[in-house]
Amino acid sequence: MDQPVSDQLTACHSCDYLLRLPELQPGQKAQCPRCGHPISRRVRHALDRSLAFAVSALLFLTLALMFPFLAFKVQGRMQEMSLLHSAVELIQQDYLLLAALLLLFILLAPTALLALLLPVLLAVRRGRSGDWTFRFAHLLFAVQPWSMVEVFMIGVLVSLVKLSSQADVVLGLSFWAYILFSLSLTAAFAGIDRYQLWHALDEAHHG
Amino acid sequence: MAEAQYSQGSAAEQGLQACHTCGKVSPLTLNHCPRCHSRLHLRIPNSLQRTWALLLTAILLYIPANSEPIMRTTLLGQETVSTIIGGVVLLWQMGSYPIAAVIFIASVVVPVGKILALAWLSFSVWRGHRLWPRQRTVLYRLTELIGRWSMVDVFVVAILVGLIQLGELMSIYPGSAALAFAGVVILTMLAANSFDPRLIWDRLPPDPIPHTSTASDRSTDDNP
Repeated sequence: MDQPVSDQLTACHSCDYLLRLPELQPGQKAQCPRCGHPISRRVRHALDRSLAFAVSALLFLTLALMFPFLAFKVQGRMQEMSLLHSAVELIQQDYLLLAALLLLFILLAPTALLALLLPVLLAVRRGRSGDWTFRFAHLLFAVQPWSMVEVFMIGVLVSLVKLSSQADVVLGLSFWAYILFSLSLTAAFAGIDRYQLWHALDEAHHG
Repeated sequence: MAEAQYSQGSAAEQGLQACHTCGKVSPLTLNHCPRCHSRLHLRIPNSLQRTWALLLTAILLYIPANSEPIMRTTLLGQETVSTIIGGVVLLWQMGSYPIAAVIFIASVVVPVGKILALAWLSFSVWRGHRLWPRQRTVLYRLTELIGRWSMVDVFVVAILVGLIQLGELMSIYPGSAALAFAGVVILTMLAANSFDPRLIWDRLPPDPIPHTSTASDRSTDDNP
């Protein structure tokens, strides 16, 4: 209530409609009255849930890097592949740029997301945020579209079907870990609402 | 003046600008957001030119992405090359209809649809069209959401190349179309990023009919 009125003033991202957003109760969401774009959504315990899923995502990512991802058997010969191996193979084939993009989309961007999200969430929880948390949150939203973990999972499934007629494919431990990583990362971001996060950071900064 | 250029009810009309990153509303005189320090712009600078340039590059790159091979397969010493479309046809003939459909949608329908949608949106803004602002905004949000999913085929190539290296027995190598197609996806994502959907709403006539009617629609929708 002590907050200056201008803090609740916001503009729709899609159509620039100026609106005054009331404080949302858990479970409520706000849409732009003009274009229908979702403005904000408040989920009960959203930050704690995000934090829990982000920590589990970090664990599953570590596991996904440690074991074989897929193995392939044909005529008695077997070949194993780790998650990093496909990038290594592309580099050996002189497809450096493709290897770099692959690493960026399936490992570096998602790792950066976690490295940015975890400190931001912890800062909000502890009610202590500084200039760096605002910078981290800014970067977080810039990196987000370039993390393609779920898209990669679909690519893996398509590859499995393509190969199934020609050879036996064995799913490695890392395969399952990466699936769980993908689900945890999605769940961690499901609870992140831009408007609520910036509002929380603001309060942690001033309070 | 500003009042004439921007739609009724917009922040711009009130001399305010919303931060792209955190959404905080600031007066036009500020260059940086007081909350998150991002650079402030009333609208994305040169939004249409940037979108057009990126789209044209994407269209040009889409040609080698389809004409060049996306991967080469060596099976018992015999080499076969396949293009994106060739791969879809082969999967279809093998009877893997769902997978053929996934690849076709991700590699053909989504990128082509996205390029057409963004081109039409930019054209409609450039010509100052006033029809269907709400539908055009939804179309834009859709192109923004589905863009990343086109990368599936590139990942398939990367996985197959990484996994299948058994020399003459069976090996898979990447083709130049893989990189070209990855470029198409990245360029269309950047094009979607540089398009500013708020341009659709600027210059709408005062108190447009969609505004009043949809506002009442919404209030009924919200009751579960």
